[in-house]
Amino acid sequence: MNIGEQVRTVYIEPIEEPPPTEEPSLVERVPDPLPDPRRQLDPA
Amino acid sequence: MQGLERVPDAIEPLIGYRAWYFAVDRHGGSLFPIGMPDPSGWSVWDGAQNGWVSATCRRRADVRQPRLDALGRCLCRQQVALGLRSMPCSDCDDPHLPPGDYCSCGFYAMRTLASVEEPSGPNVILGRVEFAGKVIECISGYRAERARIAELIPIEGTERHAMRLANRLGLPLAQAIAP
Repeated sequence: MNIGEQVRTVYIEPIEEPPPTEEPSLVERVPDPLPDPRRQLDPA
Repeated sequence: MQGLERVPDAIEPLIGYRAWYFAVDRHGGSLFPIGMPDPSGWSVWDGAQNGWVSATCRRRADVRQPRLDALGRCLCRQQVALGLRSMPCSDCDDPHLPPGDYCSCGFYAMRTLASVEEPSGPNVILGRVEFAGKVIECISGYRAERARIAELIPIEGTERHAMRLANRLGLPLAQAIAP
């Protein structure tokens, strides 16, 4: 491949980009081990 | 200067265009530089459909015994200092980060699609590539340290095979262009 005479040298930061077709990963819901303190204050 | 030590000149990759020979089988697809017509082995472009791949320099395996002075140093740098030659010998450019300034290593592409001269054949495909890292800009194209493939561009008459290849590699396929 003939790309011709050298003109200059640059440095380009190789930014990693997520693939555009990638689906967002599902986050598994984990139950909170501690009771909600606000709920404890509520009258039954 | 090694690429990792310098401040980037930009963060947007440079865009280039090039041609490959391609092969498709039930396991996947591969792209081979036109200068490496035997599509039976590993390609420097393997993985470039998924993200950045890095160029390697094969000259390291082909280093000649350098001419040394009494202190074990190659004479070329002294010759440069004396004005007897314009640049160090290619061996003294090693080790270098591809693309070496005095080497031919690195990923190649042309600046424009129109300037790509592809051979004819059913297993030739064009593509738009992105370059980063150390990039040597030349009049008609680039020689780069890192590359990734952004898009495949089929040549008219090869669309069916090109679509299979694009599906195997997970790459977008542009509209076919005339040969």
